[in-house]
Amino acid sequence: MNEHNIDRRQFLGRSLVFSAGAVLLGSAVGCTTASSNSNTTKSNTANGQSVPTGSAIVVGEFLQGFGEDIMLSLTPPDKTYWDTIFDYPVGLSVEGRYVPALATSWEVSKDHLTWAFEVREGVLFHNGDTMTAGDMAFTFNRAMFNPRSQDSLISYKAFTDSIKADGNKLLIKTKVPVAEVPVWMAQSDGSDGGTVLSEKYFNKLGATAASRSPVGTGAYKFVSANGEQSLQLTAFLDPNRNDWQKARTPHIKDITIIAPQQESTKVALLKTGGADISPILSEDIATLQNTQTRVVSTPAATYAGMYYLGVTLNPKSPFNDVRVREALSIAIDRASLARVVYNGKAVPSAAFYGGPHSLGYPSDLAPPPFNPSRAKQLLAAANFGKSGTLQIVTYDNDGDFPGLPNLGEAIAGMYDNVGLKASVRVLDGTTMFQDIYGGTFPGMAHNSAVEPPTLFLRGFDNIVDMIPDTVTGYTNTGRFGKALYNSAEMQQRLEAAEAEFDQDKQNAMLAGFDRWMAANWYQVPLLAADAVFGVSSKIKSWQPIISQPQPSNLWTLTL
Amino acid sequence: VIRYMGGRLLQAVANILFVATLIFVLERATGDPTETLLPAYAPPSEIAQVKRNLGLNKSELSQYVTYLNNLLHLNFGNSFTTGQPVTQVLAQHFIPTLSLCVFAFGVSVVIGIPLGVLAALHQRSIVDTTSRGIALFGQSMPPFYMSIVLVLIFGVTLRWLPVAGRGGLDSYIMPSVALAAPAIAGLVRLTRSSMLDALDSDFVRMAYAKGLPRGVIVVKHALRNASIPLITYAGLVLAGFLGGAVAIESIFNWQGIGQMTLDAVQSRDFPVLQGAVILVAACFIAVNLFVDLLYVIVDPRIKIVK
Repeated sequence: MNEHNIDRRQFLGRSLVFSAGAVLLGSAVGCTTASSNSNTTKSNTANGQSVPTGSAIVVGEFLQGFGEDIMLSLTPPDKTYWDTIFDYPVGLSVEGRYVPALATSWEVSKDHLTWAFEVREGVLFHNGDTMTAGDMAFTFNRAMFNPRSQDSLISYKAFTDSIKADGNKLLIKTKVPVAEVPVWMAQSDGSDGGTVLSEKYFNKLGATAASRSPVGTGAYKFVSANGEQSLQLTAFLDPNRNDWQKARTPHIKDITIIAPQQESTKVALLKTGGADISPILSEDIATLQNTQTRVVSTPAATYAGMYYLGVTLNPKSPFNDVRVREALSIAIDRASLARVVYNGKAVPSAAFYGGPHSLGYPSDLAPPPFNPSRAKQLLAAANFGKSGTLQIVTYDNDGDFPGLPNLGEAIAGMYDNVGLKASVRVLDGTTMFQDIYGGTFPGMAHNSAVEPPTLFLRGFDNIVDMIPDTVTGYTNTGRFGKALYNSAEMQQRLEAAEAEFDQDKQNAMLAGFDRWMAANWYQVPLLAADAVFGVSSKIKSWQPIISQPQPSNLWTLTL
Repeated sequence: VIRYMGGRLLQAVANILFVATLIFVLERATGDPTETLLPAYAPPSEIAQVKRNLGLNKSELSQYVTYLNNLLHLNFGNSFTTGQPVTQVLAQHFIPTLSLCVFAFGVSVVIGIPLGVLAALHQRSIVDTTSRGIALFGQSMPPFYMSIVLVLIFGVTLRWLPVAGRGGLDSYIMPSVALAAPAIAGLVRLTRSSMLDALDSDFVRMAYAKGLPRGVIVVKHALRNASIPLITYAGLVLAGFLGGAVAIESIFNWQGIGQMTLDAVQSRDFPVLQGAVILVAACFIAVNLFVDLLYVIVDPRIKIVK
């Protein structure tokens, strides 16, 4: 064996150089980002238009994936910045209703196969180009038919025959009658599919560069991004923009969007002036008392309800007994849950896939009553729960509904009061949904054992219209090919509503569905929660959109 | 030296290959990522298109061969969720993490080692008790909780430091201290015990007998001889920082590798997860190699043997 002594001095020298280099590199990296992170507000002029001034820092949901070609990306953008930079053919009013935006109107042909969207004239992109029906056709064709597209719009490819511009109109031809085409083009929670990109800009810069420096028609235009730390936006003040755009001229000149993930960080930022608007949890309201930060809430942003797993699917399920279903619903004191668990920032709901403010909400239908003594009687009559436990499965995603595990525990406590032992299992959301639609929870499969009887507590957007996931839980049309129910009437009612082109009639059908569900106690409607925001004293007024859980309508902010 | 380095590099490549294979297999064991990536109502045609786009329509073996081939060319593929090249994603997130780790490592060493030395020199004195108290505090306080406490005191109440975000040097202080606290505790205890052993040795007594100044004895003789376990521990600390700052990054909105890895796990973004795991493994291997080489410099009795 040969043995070699290292020249220690030589090696020491090299090591020192290496170490110093590493430390310097680390420091340089830190300092470089530090300097690039500083944002300053400059004075502004706007060619005779109203002159926005000042700046505000807004907390969005996330900034991951910013600058990527959104149509080829599976991550939807954070709506806080996306809906501020871009517009949709169909927008949302402050009340959360679909209203004309980049399209002034839309109509469907008599055969219900061709939708025509009248494109608003004179709308400017942030680079000065005029938005046309051609831009809409380019955007939606790319999103739907590009083989590399991963946009949400490819869900509709199978129904779509063609998308093209015809003068000032966008024509969408479908293979079968589809009532929800305007919803594809609409600003709604979680969707980016309908935003309109500039064809000329994309072709000139290429998709990569155009995505990193996005150009839309919104009230604010993109200035810069500091990695995933922050985005800088500034008011769009081109004097040639059209009147519709001028009507949405911001009052605040510069907006910085950041996306901290921890709730405690958001609260700390609000308290110290590090943020001017941030979504917060209702449980954090108390911590903002006696500070300069006020709380603004918009109703019905998210909705929570419970499903009886196995009902109508498995003949052995105890949930097939309507007495059990009624008892498990009326054992819950919804008003107390809203008051105590959500600090009054929630209301009891009577409907099964949305709360008050959702389209089709049956205003004449009262939430299930709280009647623990009747619940006890019903359970005794049904001989349910004398042995073993009831299981509530849920997950932790404040975006779907805040504090679902806490809500589950509170419900378990109420079940305890009527003599039922209930446990709460908090699972990873992805795994849980796979198991739910895979039918692997106890009692879901036909004729399987049902111990423990399981309730599935979930939250979702308090949707404002019929979209495909409305029916997924109830019918076999989802990609799992399995529903949480096996009810021909349920499926028929929802599919009929989905196929209805008249909005009023569709709403009436949805309300009818809710009444029918309530009469049969097929589900446990719970609460519709507000979106709660902390707003600094610097912000004088703001009109966020009802039902949007993220900060919206930033152009309405005033200092 | 070249042969030694060559051997270690080959060993490193084998280790990385093993880690890369392991993460590939474990990821696939979690199931089909399109189930997470797509909504429940996505039609089969959409699922097929997305699988094609992501290369998930091929067999696992074919995916593995492509993966290894790309890895050889330092190509980690594109993120499933954003489409961004993984190398770009890693670079974007590694820089904040690296800068935080270097800073926190500096804090650990600058505080931990002197405190440990002082504790050893003044055994059973107030200095020793205080040092051990600091160590106990650092080890028993979870970094997540310490971060929140630091934010409340120095960010919200005193308003001395920014509560979140990566900006100037002041934004590094709280996350670095929170990240470094357990490491400081470890360094204090290890330095103290190693120094006590060294101070009790014959060569130190000899140095005193020779009349050498105390500072020289402590630094040049005792500390140097006590530093082998410290170097080992410090190496592990640095490598651990690189992969283990998830909670700190989340609280301080740091957008580093930890937060990125957590997001990748939740969204089943296989390429990003693979890239992150391989990067952290490579960091561990590099730091360990550096530590091994450092032994030779610090302790002349250690030789590189071929």
